[in-house]
Amino acid sequence: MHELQDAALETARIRGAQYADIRIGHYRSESCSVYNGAPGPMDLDESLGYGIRVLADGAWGFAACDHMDRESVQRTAAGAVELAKAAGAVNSTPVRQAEEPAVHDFWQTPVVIDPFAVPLETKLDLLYRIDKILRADPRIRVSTGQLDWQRRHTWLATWSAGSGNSSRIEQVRTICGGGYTAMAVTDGDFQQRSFPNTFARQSKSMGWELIGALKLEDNAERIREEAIQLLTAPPCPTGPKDIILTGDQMVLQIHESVGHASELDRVLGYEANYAGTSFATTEKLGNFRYGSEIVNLVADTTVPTGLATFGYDDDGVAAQRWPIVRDGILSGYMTNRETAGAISQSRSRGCNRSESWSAPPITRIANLSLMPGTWKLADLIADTEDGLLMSTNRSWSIDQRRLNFQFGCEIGWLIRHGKLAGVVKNPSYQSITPKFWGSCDAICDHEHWDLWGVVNCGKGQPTQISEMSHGAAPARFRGVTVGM
Amino acid sequence: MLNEQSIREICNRTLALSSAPATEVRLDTGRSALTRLAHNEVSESIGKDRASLSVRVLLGPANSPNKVGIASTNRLDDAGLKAVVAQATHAAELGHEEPTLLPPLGPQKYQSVDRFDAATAECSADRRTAPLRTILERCRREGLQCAGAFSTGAYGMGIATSAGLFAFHRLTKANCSLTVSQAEGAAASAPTSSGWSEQLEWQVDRIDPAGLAEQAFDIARRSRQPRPLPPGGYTVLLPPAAVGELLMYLAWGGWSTKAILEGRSFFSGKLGQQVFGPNISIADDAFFPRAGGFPFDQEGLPRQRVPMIEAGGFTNMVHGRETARLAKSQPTGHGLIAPTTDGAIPCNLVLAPGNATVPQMIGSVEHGLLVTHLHYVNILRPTDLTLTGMTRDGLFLIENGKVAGPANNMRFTQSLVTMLNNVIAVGSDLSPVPGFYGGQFLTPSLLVKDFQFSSSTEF
Repeated sequence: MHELQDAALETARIRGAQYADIRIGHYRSESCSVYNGAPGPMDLDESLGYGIRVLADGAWGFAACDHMDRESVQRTAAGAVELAKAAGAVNSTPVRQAEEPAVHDFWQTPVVIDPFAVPLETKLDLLYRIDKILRADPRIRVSTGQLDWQRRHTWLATWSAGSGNSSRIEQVRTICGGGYTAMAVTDGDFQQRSFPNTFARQSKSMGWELIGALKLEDNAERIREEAIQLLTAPPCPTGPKDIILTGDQMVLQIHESVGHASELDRVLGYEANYAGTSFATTEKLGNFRYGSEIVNLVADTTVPTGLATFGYDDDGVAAQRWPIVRDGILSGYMTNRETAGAISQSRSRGCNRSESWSAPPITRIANLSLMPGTWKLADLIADTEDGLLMSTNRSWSIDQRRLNFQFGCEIGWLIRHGKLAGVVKNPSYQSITPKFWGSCDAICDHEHWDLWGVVNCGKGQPTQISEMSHGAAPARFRGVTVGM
Repeated sequence: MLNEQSIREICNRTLALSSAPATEVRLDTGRSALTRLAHNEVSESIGKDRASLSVRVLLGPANSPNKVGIASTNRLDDAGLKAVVAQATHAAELGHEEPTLLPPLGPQKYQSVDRFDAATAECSADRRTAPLRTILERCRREGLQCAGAFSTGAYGMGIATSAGLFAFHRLTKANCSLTVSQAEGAAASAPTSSGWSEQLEWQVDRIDPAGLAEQAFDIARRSRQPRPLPPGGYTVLLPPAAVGELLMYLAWGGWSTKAILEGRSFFSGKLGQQVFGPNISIADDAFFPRAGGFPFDQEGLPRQRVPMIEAGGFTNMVHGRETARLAKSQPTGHGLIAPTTDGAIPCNLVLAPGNATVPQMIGSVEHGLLVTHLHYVNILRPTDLTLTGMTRDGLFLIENGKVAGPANNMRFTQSLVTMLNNVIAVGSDLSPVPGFYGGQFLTPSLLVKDFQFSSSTEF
């Protein structure tokens, strides 16, 4: 690997680059699934290749290839410089990167049980047992279950003409996930319940020990009955209500209305043509009231089991923990080496990540979590006069500056006079981001808090899919419009 | 990018390595490049060349296999091919029996369609950047902000089976989109108006960046100082980009064949019924001029033109071999790799154009809205295809037949079924918009009455 990396960096230097890096990636992913009692294909994927990124004439160039020989690496590096120079010829402002010390290091996800060593029979048997429970009632027309596991081995080497620094970082990340969905169908209606979360999955940076901890089988009967119950449930009422969102829905709320809004590349217009910009502009840093005083959101790429937990990002910047919203005030952004300077920071927060070796890194949401409060969920429900408890995201949409959002959940429960008063179907709510977070008056405590994985975050052109985790406990928001 | 001969040779070498009774091999290859713009600079300049080989091994009797395993790799040397065949075989051996699997396809005949342009396949970064320079310089001069993306690429797919099938097709794509925004002041939080335009072609020489920029400039200029409007039902003129976005959800959320067969779709049990207004006709047609996409499905079955909606009636659904068997129907060449949760979906929808021009449609509106495009659309309720999403980069009030000024962007919450029963006029324009699996949709503008906006945003 080092020989190929040296060839890439040397070619880039000779061709006139001021900075170059090469990220070699060897990815293995496997999954198994069961659909209505029938096995889905055992899907095994392996991918090996490299992406070479250079700064030449003050502009970025990136080229990727999967031919693992010296000549191809040199050709790809030369191509990256050519791409950069074509960009530099029309640019007026050269890219500047925040300084970063050179590092030589190895990092890996702590793993107790290697998921690749667990027999496939064991994995499938679990899915079949769950399927049998879910389809024990014929009103469950479709049941799906899936388990997946992957390992990403990367080797990053960087070189910079300015500092003369060069880093070499090797990382091995392991991710496991799984879950299931029960779909109940009757004439003219279709309702679903998923466990542990939307898209029938919870994922963490862990070994196979995650799957046992999820208690998938233990929850299957409850999920089946809830899906059936939804078929005859009344629709979600309309109008203002106090709402309590469970942790699995808070994930999406954090992701869409804080995570993306605090990506500094969006704020600065890098995504203006596609994913959008952000209302959380830089002059608001340190003074804008994002939410109520109990709202504290912390970005953390060091937190154990997070999907955005690593030793270093794809810029070679070490993992960190920092506030995004502190006591309700906007306090930080997701940054990379290119954007950190825009908010007068001398160092990147380490948020530059790519979906694979074949894509350039872009600013991604880190693990971002709402810090727990002091409430027990039972006490919070008892304290709510006229409300709605909502769980598990089903639909999501937010405007391109991350203000107006509308989210739908799989299931809701009415709350009347401090007690749960029956299930409602198709629950949804809509608000404006700072108004919504400003109405947060109660957050449950650490016993209700978990870290939830998001595995389908799309951004960039061409679209890259990335993953991160959000920690949350149930929280209450006052006077929110429900029932669209 | 690998050519047809190389793809055939790799597929054959892979098949020869398999001792399974039945094996399918699919090789996707592509060479793509992108010049991306942000804040009046080229922010990314990307080139990539890659291939991916997928092997599907079927065990059991050759004519009625009962176990399947899939493995994929981008390692195309002998060791890589040997490893991927072994992995797929191993996966199949470990799988439980699936009695409904179908044997691989034998040789097929395909309708010829040529959408490969050498100039697009070999387009250089300088070729993409050159027409953008003038646009960026104008934006810098006039205090505007330009963001965008200009991409070119060539893609090929080969499918081979142990039953003698070899399918190959290659195509090129070129896409340019531009967003121009204009701030009311120097502060970072100053109100900002924006305009957007996009063009998709399979020949890069047909892309007109200067024309696109003019459209985006014009919309950005006209959308300054928008005013809030109350939520409610409006007559709305949706351009092709917006209609295409909604059609994506019709195709995926409504016309997933397995969802229809399993009762999970609005269209379940409605074959032969009137579902939309009589002015709506929609076909899936990979051979329509400018449609793009592949002339065969993921199993290698030839695609057919399928009239799905004729004068508002739901006349046909698309099928792969798996769903055709379930429905006791005939496959139409729209299958995905079985077994799948969707079974088959349309990839090249064409909404038949009408006679109305855009000025005529605007002229007919007493009080309504003109949309530029949509953002973050999602399905809120699948049973009646209720969608929600935002308008973006220019929303305009129409009063007394004229565009009367910009409005704050609004959120719609609208059943697609109701919408396609409320179409007042179908445009004579027809533009390509992104479809599925390399395909493109073609759609005209639609003038729709009582389109429901449920809330507004602050810009």
